[in-house]
Amino acid sequence: MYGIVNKAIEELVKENFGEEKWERVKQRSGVDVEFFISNEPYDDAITYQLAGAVAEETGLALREVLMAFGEYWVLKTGKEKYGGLMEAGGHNLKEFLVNLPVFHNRVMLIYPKLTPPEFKVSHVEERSIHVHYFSKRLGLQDFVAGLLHGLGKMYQTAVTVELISSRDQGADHETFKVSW
Amino acid sequence: MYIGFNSEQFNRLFPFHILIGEKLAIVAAGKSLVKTYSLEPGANFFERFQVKRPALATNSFETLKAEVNKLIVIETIEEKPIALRGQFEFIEETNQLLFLGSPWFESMELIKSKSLSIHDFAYHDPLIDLLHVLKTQEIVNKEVKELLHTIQQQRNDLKRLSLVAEETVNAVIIADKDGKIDWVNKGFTKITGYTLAEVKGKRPGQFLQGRDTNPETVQYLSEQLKKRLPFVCEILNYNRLGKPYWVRINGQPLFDKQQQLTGYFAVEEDITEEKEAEARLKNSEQRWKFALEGAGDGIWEFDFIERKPFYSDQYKCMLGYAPNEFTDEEHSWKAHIHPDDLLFIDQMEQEYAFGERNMHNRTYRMRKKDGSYIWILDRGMVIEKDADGKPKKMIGIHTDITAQKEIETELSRTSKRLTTLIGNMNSAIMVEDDQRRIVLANQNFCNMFKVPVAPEMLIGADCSQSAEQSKHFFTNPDEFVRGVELILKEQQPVLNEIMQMADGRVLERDYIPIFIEDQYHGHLWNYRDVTDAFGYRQRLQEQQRFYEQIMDNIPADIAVFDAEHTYLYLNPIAIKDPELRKWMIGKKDEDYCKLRNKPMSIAVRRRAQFHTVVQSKTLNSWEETLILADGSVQHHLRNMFPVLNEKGEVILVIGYGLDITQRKQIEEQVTISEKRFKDLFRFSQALICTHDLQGRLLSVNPAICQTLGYEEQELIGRNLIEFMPDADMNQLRTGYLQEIAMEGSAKGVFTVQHKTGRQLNLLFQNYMMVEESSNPYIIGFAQDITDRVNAERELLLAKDLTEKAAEAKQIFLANMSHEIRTPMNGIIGVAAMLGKTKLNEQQKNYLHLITESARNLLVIVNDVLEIEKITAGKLELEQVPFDVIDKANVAVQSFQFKAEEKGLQLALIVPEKKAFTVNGDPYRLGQILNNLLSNALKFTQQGKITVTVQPIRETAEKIILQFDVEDTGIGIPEEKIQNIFDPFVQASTDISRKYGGTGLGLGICKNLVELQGGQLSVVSTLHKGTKFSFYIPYVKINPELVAATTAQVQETSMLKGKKVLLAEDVELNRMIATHMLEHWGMDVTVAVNGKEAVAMVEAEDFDLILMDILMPEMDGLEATGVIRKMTAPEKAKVPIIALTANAFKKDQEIYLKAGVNAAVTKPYTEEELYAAVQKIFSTQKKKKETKAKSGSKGPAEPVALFDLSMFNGIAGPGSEFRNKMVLLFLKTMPEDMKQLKQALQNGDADTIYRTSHRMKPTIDTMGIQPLKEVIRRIEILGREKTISAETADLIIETEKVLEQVYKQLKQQFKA
Repeated sequence: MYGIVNKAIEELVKENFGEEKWERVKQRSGVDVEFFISNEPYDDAITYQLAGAVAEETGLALREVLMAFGEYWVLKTGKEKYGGLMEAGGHNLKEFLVNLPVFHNRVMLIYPKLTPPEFKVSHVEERSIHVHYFSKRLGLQDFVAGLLHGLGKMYQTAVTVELISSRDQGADHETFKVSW
Repeated sequence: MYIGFNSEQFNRLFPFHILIGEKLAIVAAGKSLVKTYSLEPGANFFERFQVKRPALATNSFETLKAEVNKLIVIETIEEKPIALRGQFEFIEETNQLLFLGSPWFESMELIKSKSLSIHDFAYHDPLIDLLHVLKTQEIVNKEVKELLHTIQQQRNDLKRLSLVAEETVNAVIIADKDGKIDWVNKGFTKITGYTLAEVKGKRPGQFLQGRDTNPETVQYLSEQLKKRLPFVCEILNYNRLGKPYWVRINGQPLFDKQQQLTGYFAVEEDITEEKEAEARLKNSEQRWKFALEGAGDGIWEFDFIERKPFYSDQYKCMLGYAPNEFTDEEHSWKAHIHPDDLLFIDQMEQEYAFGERNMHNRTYRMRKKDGSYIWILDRGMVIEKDADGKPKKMIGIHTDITAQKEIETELSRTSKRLTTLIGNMNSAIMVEDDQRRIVLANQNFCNMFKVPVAPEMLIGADCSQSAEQSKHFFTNPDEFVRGVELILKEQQPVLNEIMQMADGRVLERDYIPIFIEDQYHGHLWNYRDVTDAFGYRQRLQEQQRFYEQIMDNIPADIAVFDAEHTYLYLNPIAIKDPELRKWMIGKKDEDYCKLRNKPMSIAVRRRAQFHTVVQSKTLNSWEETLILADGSVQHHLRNMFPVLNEKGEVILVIGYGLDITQRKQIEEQVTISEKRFKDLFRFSQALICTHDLQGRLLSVNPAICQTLGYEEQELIGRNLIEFMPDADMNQLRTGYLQEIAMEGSAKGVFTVQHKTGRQLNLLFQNYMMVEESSNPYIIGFAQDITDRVNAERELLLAKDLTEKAAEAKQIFLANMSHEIRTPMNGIIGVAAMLGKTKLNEQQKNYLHLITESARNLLVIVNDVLEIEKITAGKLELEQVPFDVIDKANVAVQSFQFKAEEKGLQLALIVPEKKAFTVNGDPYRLGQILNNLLSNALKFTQQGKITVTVQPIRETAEKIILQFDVEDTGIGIPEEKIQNIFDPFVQASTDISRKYGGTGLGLGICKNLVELQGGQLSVVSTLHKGTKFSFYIPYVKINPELVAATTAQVQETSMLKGKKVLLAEDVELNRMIATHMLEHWGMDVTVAVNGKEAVAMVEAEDFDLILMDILMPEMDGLEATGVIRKMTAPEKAKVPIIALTANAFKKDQEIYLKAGVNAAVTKPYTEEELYAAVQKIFSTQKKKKETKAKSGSKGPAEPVALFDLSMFNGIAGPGSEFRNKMVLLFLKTMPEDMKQLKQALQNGDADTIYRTSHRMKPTIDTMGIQPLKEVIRRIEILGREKTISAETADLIIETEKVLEQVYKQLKQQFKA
């Protein structure tokens, strides 16, 4: 995972719980990295360890941590750091989600060392869409759900995100139905 | 290879392409380029783009063509240009250049600012992703900077730390985990003399410890190191030169994150000097000990650790012990302390033990060996403490202070005795020493002067400023200060001095200086609060003064005697002369008579009275009458009153006399007055009675008895109600009695019954009398008004009859007027028509006679109506501008022909070259002159008739004009002359026969003159002639405002072709009207009644309807009503002129209310009808014009607020006259307006009235429609002296409209 992801976790914790909490999260996770560089790839395990430690330190469920992180990723990291690029993704939520596969494909080119997931969309309706998430990683589906919620907030649209199929249930990828 | 794209595909691939024609015209451009940059097809490439790279020699197609297959950067020409990077390709087939490329943006924000989005770029175009990469790079760069900053900061922190370690004066040692030195600082080298190189790898103990180093400390150190624990200790080390020095070591082991021992760290502080100082102190202590011992004091020492005391020999000796007898045990000292003093000793020991106390200074008793007690002053202090602050060692000395203590005790006892004494004294005491410091004061002193502390606290206080500081307590502060200064200076006792305090208290003060062996040692102040005593004394004196004043001023002569009739007291009323009064005390009346040479009989008489009192022991009163020297009489009431003691013996006699002369006189007056009132009551013709609140009669006067036919005794005690008819009883109970009880008075009429049963009406006015000593009662006054009531009743009856008769008369007159006028209309109309035909002389003559007769008859009818109007007060005068001379001239001219016919001279004499233009009623003036002239002509057979007009008084605003009509006629007999102005009266009965006429004319004239504020008089000589004179006051006006008033049939073009419906039932009248209307070119349709008229209006549209009022089937008013309610607006709004023979103005108002636009009275002349019709059409025209103007497009042309058509009527449109008028208006009106506003500000209603009155005709003449009513309202308000918000609003409105009018006028008359 690229440093930007771990960095976002760090910022999320610092912003919501303070520096000390972050130090404790680091200590608990056993991750001994002082500084994450955004476009430097780090072992995926670091991300999982950090997320786990955050859950333990804050007393939240891991699922909630990942969801929160997904939202934070869109609203803070994405919007603050890549503001223009995010906004260029679409004029509204629907347009952004329709363009999401292309957008992500572009991301793949930018981060060559990434093992990026792939997104596809189907069932494009007036007020809903199916987002398909193909990834080699396991256990990040809640992060994706958080991202989708975050996008809803970015476009000031109330959304519901429903996981309608997943690898846990034998499918080969996760499918989210996003309605607004 | 050929690849062909359609334009959509090409646009998708190259959304920013530009295709340029041979002549540099842009042939086509990509969709995204066009989206952000406006490019019209055909625009010149170089006008819209600039080639940035490479630089071109010239802007031509060929130079561009030469740049094919190169990297080209072009830029749009605009404020924030867009750079496009790409390349040119030449298309041979079309001879065109194609630019393929993409914009070069530095950030997504710029793309957004150019209204582009990610979708405007071809997918193959990597720009967006490039920007993304750049963004990521930017973020990373930021992070790296942040990281470098953090590292830099940490490095600085480290540097600072190492600097501290290096530069500190203490020795810093860092050792490895085996205790071998890794690093030492400069401080180490300085203290030990060894360099880092020399000691690196060695253990400190190896080379620093020496002979006197404490092995226990060395042992401690090695154990702490072994246990990997921090260590703190002091140790004696040796430097490189072998010189010993003391250090305090503070060290600790160091661990890594895994808690593995990595080394040691220690700081060593050089404490050699500290150690030496300590040793010096010890020596010094020893020396002090010896010194103290020598002074005879006992010295002790206590070691807290060992719990062991030390006592010096002297100490033991002080307690009577030999050195070896007193053991050095911990409690041996305490065992000798007096049991009563032990408590606080124990407490102090505890404080020492906890380290809370460092020293003490105390006294207590100690038992000597022989059992006696001595007083000890014990002083001690801690001299050594451990690290926790707990005492390790303390020393002290004991001094025997028994002798001192005994003196103190004695002193204290004496002082206590004194203090108690002074403290318990009632006075406020304060003793000062010779330096004016307080030695003593008691609580009373503090209370008295409100000192908020205990008296003990005052001791020692400086009093040198006390007088100044406390002077505010005293009524006279400065005097107090001066007094104190004087006393202190003289140092002589001052006793019982009274001091007045500001708070009302009174103090008595003693000053006692203290001299001991002739030496001044201070003084004592003693203050006592004597407010109560002082107040009591004062009150007593005041009371005495009070009683004396009463006795002296009481308006009675008072004398007090003892039981022997000797004077004890006399007041100034009794004896005025104070000397004599004084002399009288102790004397008797006999002495007085002797002294004053009065008859002794007075003394004898008084003595007899005195004896009576003494004997009877009761009050004795008698009256004395004195005749004074001036002959006047005085009456005195004398009293003598005995004062008895408890045994009932007379001890004093008080004599007092009152002058009752005035009372006597009043009593006499009251008797007379009472008699008078009784007479008044008895003889009054008014009915007077009194009765109680229930109506029961208490008293009646004879007039009542007479009026009602009862005797007095028949009335007294009976209720009013019994004398009233049954019908009125209730009114008395609920009305009268209640009203008078509540209001205190009532008035009205009672109906009462005479004894014979006859009813009488009594007008009464009664009042309730409320007097303290008696019950309230009513006093009533009444008057018998029975006769008056009867007369009034008859009068009312008569009035009613008269009014009914008058009404009948009016109805009759109205009918008569109508009935005569209708045929008259026919006669005059036909005569006029006949006049337009060809006639021979005789026919003309006959026609003239018909017309004249008809006119005469009309005059008679009009006269009858006129006098009716006048007597009914219904005549209304006009107020219009006119020229009096002009009017007089017209009147005279109209009789000229007749005068000539009779061979008479008729002349008008007026002041030369004078016009009298006034505001008034020209018709009424004409009527009066016509009447008088007609009479003059009638009664004059030869000679002349002269009309004279002349002013008899003239001011700037007003003029009174006199008119004389003089003839040389038959004259009026003297006896008739006073009646000739009465209606229906003629000078002689045969006049009506001989000359005709109604006899109303002069009555009308007189009334008309008087209505206009003037008077008509007559002078006549029988057979010589008569002169009628009258004057009328007029308000003068500007002559130019006089407008021509008579419309003439001149301009009928406006009427040509207009459709008019004539509704008239009388055929003759129809014929006349039709003739006139058709003569003017109008298209006439006829209806014979209202019903037919309505049907015709429904069927056809008309421009005008002439509507007779009285018609069969449906009358004119009803028809008007139906028409006005028609749904089609053009029908409902058709103008209607009523034709009526009813000349009363009241009737005309009814018609106008019913919906007609105007009314014409029959019979009418052609001019009269024309005037009415023309007015309707000109109003319509104006309305249309206004409407057309306001409806037109473009900047709204303001509607003209004025109408100068009146001038057109006078002198034709565009005349010079009109221009002059406008100029005059512009000049005068602002001035008037200014005056009006000023008057409003000043609240000057009179000026408002006068100014608005002046402005009114001008506003009318100028046709300023919006102000016509406004200015009249202002005038009315002014006249009524009312200045209200309404006045202000109206004046503001007037000013606003006038401003507009000025503007419009100036614009219209620019030329």
